[in-house]
Amino acid sequence: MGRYLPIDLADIFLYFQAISSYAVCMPRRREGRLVDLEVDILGAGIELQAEDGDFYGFALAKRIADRAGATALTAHGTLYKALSRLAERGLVESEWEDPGIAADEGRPRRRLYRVTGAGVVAHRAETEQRTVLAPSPRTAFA
Amino acid sequence: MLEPDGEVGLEASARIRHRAAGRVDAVVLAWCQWYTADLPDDVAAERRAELGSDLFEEREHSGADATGSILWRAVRGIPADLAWRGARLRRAALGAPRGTFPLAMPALAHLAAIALVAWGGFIVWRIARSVLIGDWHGAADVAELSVAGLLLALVGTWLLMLARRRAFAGLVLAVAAYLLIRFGTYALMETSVSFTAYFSTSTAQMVLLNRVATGAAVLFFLSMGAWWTSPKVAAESEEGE
Repeated sequence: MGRYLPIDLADIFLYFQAISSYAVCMPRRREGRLVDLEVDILGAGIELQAEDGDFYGFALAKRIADRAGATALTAHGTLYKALSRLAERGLVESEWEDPGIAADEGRPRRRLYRVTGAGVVAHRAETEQRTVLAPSPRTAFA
Repeated sequence: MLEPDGEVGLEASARIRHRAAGRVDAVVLAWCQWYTADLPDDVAAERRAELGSDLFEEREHSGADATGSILWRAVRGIPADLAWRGARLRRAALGAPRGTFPLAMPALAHLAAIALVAWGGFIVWRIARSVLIGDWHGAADVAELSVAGLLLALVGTWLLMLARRRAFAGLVLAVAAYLLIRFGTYALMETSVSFTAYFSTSTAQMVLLNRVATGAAVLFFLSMGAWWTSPKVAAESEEGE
């Protein structure tokens, strides 16, 4: 069969997968790429890290909302699931705050995150790729 | 990532509440408690502590005005919470001993409990309808035991959703299954002419079927109860081997 048709089942599968990626409205993850929320997390995280050295969940949600000019903060489940995913990919790392500091300030311990070197590279690559891929209005109507 | 007493320390940290925290905060934390209940201790403790810290910080930032935002963030995050929970359970299941089916068996137990409630609801509805139209000629205790079976099935199904009560839920559902299948079938006979006719033409087979179905259901729920009894002890003994 392969002798007459220069395609195999894997090609057919990829073809239908490509079609379905256009048909379904939900964003699909491409290998090595970041989804919008992950880009936002890394971008906001890099900013917070430059100011304070690290960041924690609520501060991150607040910064993401401020950057987007939104009033609603990212949902708890969505934010921490995305952070967990980024940690598994080695793009962020975390450690629990010293219990003494939290106790002195009379609040629960924070989980402190930092964007890793790989995270900074991935964020830069993703934003550059998006800038290149996004057609300018002039070229789109040329 | 955690120090030796990390789980205990984090659980204690997560219990600190902001002075402006209200009922919504408690509901959000209770939801978190529920969806992390049967996850590994360190994973559950970290998620609860992280959420506890987030709620505190938001209260610190916005005070009483944060209530709407906290509730809305929690509601919008439910699908992600459940997806995260599912992923964690699948990961924990990868290391489970062979033949224990840590995901399939609980799912089957939930399905069986729902089927039992549906069966009980159908029987009680038939009894109520029969009583209301003055068509009920069965023994009162058969109807009472069916209603009791349905109530126990509802309680058992609810307990099944609480990780720490699952062994007890198995016991409650076993009793419910006995009442609803053993006596519920007889109650159904009193409310259905066709069922009575079928029963009278093949009595021996029907009695046998009733006994076998009752025995199988009771055994299933008792087994689930035993399976859920102190899983940590079993896991520790296996690790020690």
